[in-house]
Amino acid sequence: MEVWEVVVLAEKQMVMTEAFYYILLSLNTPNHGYGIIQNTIELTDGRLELGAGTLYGAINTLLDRGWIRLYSEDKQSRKKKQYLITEQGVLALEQEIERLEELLENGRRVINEGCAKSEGTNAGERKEKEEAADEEVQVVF
Amino acid sequence: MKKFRLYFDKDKEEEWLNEMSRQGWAMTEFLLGLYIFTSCEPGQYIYRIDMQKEAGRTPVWRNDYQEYIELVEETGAEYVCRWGWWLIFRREAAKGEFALYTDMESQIALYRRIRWMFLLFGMLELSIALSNTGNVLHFWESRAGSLGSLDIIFFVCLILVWFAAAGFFLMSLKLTGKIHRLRM
Repeated sequence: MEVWEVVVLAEKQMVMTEAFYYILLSLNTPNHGYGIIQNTIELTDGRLELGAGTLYGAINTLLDRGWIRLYSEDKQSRKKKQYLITEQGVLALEQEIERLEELLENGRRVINEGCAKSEGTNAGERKEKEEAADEEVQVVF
Repeated sequence: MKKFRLYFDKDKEEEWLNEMSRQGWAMTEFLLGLYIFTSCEPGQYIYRIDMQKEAGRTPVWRNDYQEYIELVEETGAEYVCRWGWWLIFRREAAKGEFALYTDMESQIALYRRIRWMFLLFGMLELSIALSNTGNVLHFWESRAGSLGSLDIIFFVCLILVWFAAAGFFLMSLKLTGKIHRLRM
């Protein structure tokens, strides 16, 4: 892949919606439109059901970008186009996965640190309270 | 049953079709503002109005929607009719919520396509209105303030063209607002 292609890819990388991501994932093996919808439902345990309009638009955009290509067109029986991810598409997907990993790592790290900190303060507060209770007890006796 | 309505706003039109369905009337055909309904179970269908192609880029007479319609039908919906660039689908409400566009980006893209169509038509109507109004004024001057035998039907049409132009431009403004609200 040429350098300029990578640059173009990086620019286009800005917009990878959930729909694009799951369409690319679903096209790791040849698949047709409705197959993508079903596969996405399966992968997300029914959370994400792509609308036909959203899917159709995304497929055309991905074809324009060269991230997916037409795999087969069954002309004999029902005209059902199958698509497959391209090398460029795989690269875009890998870049996105890297970006998502960074998001996850940073998120987990900050949240965990935050938890550790607040746990620390809680422990400290508890200790102070216990000490105060001790003092109270001392006063009573 | 037949009803005549003119809608600029496809969301309001959709709402109305769904309200009619709730009352037991399912829309089956559309022609120039005339909606034809047949009776159905109250609330049987959910209607969705769609615009797949971009006006100006795709000629209105080109009918290559087969692939898209097949995809929508695979999701359990039914193609009702096409009017210009507009497509109308419906799905039985029993099958659950029916949405053609499930993320913000594609909803914005849909509103942009519709806005582009209104802008194109607005400009077309405006140029027709301007040139004809110019003719009328010219006629007025040459007849020294009398309109003479200018046809009343011509006047009515001219006023209608002005209204249409204004409506199209107002609708594109409204769509800009909708896009803005979606982005927020």
